[in-house]
Amino acid sequence: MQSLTVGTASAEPGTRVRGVIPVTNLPGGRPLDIPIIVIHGAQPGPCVWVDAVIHGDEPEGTLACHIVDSRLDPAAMRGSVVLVPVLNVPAYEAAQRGNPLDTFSYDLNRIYPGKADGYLTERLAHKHSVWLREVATYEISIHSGGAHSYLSETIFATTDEKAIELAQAMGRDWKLILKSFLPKGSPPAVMYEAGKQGITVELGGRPATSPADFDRCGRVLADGIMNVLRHYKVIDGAPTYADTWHTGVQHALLAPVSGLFLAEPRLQVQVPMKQGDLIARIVDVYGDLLTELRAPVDGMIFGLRALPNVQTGDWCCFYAEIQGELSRAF
Amino acid sequence: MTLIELLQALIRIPSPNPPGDTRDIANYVADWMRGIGCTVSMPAPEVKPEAVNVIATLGSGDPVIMLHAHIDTVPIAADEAQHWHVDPYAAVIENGRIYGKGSVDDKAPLAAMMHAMAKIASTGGTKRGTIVLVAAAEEEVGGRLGTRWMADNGHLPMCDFIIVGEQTHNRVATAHKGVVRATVRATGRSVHATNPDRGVNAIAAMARAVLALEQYHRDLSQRVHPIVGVPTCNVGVIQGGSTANAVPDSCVAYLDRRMIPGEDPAVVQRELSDVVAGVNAAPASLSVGDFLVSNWFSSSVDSLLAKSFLDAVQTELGADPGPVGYLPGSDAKHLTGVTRGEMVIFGPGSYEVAHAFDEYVEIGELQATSSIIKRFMTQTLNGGEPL
Ligand SMILES: [Zn+2]
Repeated sequence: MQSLTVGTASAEPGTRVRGVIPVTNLPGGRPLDIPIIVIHGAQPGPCVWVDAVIHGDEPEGTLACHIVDSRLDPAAMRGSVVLVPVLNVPAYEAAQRGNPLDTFSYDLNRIYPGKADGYLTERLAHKHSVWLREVATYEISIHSGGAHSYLSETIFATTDEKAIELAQAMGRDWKLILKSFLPKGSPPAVMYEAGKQGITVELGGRPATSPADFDRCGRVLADGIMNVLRHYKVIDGAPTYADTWHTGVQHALLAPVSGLFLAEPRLQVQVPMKQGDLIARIVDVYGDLLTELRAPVDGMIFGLRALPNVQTGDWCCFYAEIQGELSRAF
Repeated sequence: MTLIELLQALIRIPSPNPPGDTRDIANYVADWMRGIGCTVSMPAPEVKPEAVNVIATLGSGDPVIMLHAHIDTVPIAADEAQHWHVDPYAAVIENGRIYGKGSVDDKAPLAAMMHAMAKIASTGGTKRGTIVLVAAAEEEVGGRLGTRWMADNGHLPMCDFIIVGEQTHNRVATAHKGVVRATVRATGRSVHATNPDRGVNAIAAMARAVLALEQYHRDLSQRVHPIVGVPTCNVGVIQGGSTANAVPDSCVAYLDRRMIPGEDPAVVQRELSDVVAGVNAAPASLSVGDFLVSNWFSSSVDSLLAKSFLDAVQTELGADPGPVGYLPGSDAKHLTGVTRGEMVIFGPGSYEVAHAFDEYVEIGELQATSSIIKRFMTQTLNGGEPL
């Protein structure tokens, strides 16, 4: 068994090491680094790589990484885990979606695999991709609704069996697996192009940042990652699986007009709806109805915007057209 | 404008080929595509400036998806006109069908593609990637001055996925056969029929050649392609002699040899030469020549884009999307040089009602075609990870 190196972190078998992937220096002299935790099992096996905070306003994944880190004993592992608790550090510091230091490549989740000689965020993506390609067997990108929305437990995966297997390995809480037809610009796209598997998992966002809610999001995400580790036998224990998995495609429901977005009070995420069912009303400043937002097809809501005041063209509702159920891919 | 109205408008602009003057319909398509926000060019070859093509682009960057349909139609043959039960250019709707010359071949897929692009454009365009609509002239006469000319002269972008609109009942066709046309000539010596033994009968020699070609056709059935079936050889025309009381000194036959994907046209020509050379026709002589090749086409459907397209068909139809074969040829064979990805043939209706009187398209199928293309473009260019 050899040691496992990512950036400055080199872990001997059966050990855990913290370090960074150095990116570059910032104008004030501080280095821009990506913090990483390398947990290298005593026995050989796959490497599960977890990326949190690709978007700076989505810190649920950071908490999940901390919980996973606290639960793992490298001496008892077959394979390894690389945790990136905060990938997009400047965006995290600013609590913004993108890197405020970068005018030209703001959204990290659209620019992978990045460029060695590109803009700041492209360089970060490039350094990250190089290690990801080199080390990871499976990758999990953790996202949430960020500052603008709440998203319920939802996975985006390509439609091939191995990616579906990784998605299903997230365990009993993850029943909605939407189709990602053309992964591009994201860490899972880097994995796909390297012939490996990566998935995007979504949970949380601004409406779920109360102490209990945020704690729940972190734990559900961490439980999913632990289940993935059990599924691929990196750690001992019986994995759990959802009873059924819905699959389908995402519909972007954008606000047709500006106003106050009043979602139906009894609306629940991931409960089947019929085409034409009322999702929300948008009213003007006087309370007069401007428009109604209705289900475009049979399916279910998996997320809603956070703030009711909305402008034309903004995301309102994350709607899944349900096309059927998935069978077990393994 | 509804999809049905758009198709009716296209049918009402005749574009028969020959003569292949597509200026009117090209102008209509170009104006319509500009109206929905596309960048439009209208290239035409110098040697046939009236064969105008339209290239309309929406969005930018990768992936590049081409929607290809042709704007020319076959002409209405003299004995065909009387069989039409409606005006072939009136676009009459009857029993859920739109009738008209070019209705299914190829204005239905063209209308479906245009309408799907309009839907994408009116809902904010593409979040990523480029959609290129190619409305091509000259398909009905082989495409040499249409799609082939555009591809060879740099008018077409390199594409990641191409949909060639033809009649597949909305299944995904990934292969069609190619054709080698050839002329077989028999040469003999003419004498008066009172003593034919002094002459050499070219028709008798050709008869042996025809039988040998028939055997060749039977032997070809050993070669099977999983989707388009077997190669074939058909002698379709024979001409020889001038009068019953003379020994004919020449006889000509025209044949049509269909190739399956993978067959090399040069090898096929050699096979035909060998078959004819193997016929014992002495003292008459036999030759084969005037080869005309129209190549086969074959594609895989393994890429993410192709899988997304198959998924869109499956979702909209609730049926097996294919892949299937397509029996006639198409412009797909000219597009292999401008794709770094895969290519499919896809559209409403049947090629069996194309090129005939009372050509029609089922409105339900037409609408499904447009929905499938729209779904495919939405889920690939605007779908994926939200946040
Ligand atoms: Zn995100």
